Amino acid sequence: MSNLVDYLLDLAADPDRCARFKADPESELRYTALSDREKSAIATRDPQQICEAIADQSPDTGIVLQWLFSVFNESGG
Amino acid sequence: MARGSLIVVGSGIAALRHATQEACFHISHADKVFFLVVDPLTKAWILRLNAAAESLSIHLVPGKDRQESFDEMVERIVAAVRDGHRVCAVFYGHPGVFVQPSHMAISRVRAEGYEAAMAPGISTEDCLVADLGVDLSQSGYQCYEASNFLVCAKLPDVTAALILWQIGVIGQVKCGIGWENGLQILTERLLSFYSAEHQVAVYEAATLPVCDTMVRRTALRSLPNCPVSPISTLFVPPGRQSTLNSEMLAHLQAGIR
Repeated sequence: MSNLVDYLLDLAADPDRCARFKADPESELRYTALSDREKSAIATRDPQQICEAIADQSPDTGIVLQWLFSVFNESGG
Repeated sequence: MARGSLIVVGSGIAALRHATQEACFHISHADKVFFLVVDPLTKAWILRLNAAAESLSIHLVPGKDRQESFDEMVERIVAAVRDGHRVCAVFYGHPGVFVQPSHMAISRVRAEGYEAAMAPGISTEDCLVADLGVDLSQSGYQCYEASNFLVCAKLPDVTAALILWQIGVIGQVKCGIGWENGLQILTERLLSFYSAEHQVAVYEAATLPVCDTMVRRTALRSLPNCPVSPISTLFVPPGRQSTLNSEMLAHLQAGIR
């Protein structure tokens, strides 16, 4: 399991820590073991970028995501 | 051999945060867990609870018929029940809302004489009520899949709130065709019932803990310019207040005396 997944699951389990992250992402990320790429992805707070960063290590949910978005793209929406 | 059974549970919308105690229990205690979720965090959470859990995503092949994919998923779930396993199937959100394979699997398993049940989960609708701060019981509400709303020429009750699902994939899900200007067509239809200035909201629930819920409020006439995604939902507040039926009111008051 990737560091990024572990980090996000820890945040999900701790709403106070999650609130601290949202208030000051830089401080919260400073002492994590995340790679620079993972830090950049999470700092965007953009779900697609974060999911893509995780999906690199979790290809099959990437497929579900792609399938979902391919439906969207085919619709031209 | 133990007799097989099936429980279908939902992961909720936000990974881990929306999981019910009931869902966690079943995922942890099942012999076989199958899952279909849309974000890698939810997958990681499921694998933490049951390391042998198997994804159903291999049945989703781009270009493959959606119904064929669903049939394969259902067959895989039902086969495990037949083999005598205690099976748990996990689907994104509420497992009974916009999840055809969950209902199909339960029907098939029951038809073959095995026990099957569904446990409720948190749906987008639940998140919308909380994030938009609306009490749908005040005006009443109606909800439709957006393409279905258009194709079946549904007539909205403008005195009640209206929720339209999947406004970012209009024409795709039900019909297998894409409408390039689906949002424009939907807006034109809604303008038959609501004023151009009526304020509506495009809503997307937050799935990851670090992300915020997305709410874009706009006048109805500007809806076609609103960015949407496959998980966008449209909330249309009532266009006007209900009128009281004075005859019925008098009838009820007479009954009280």
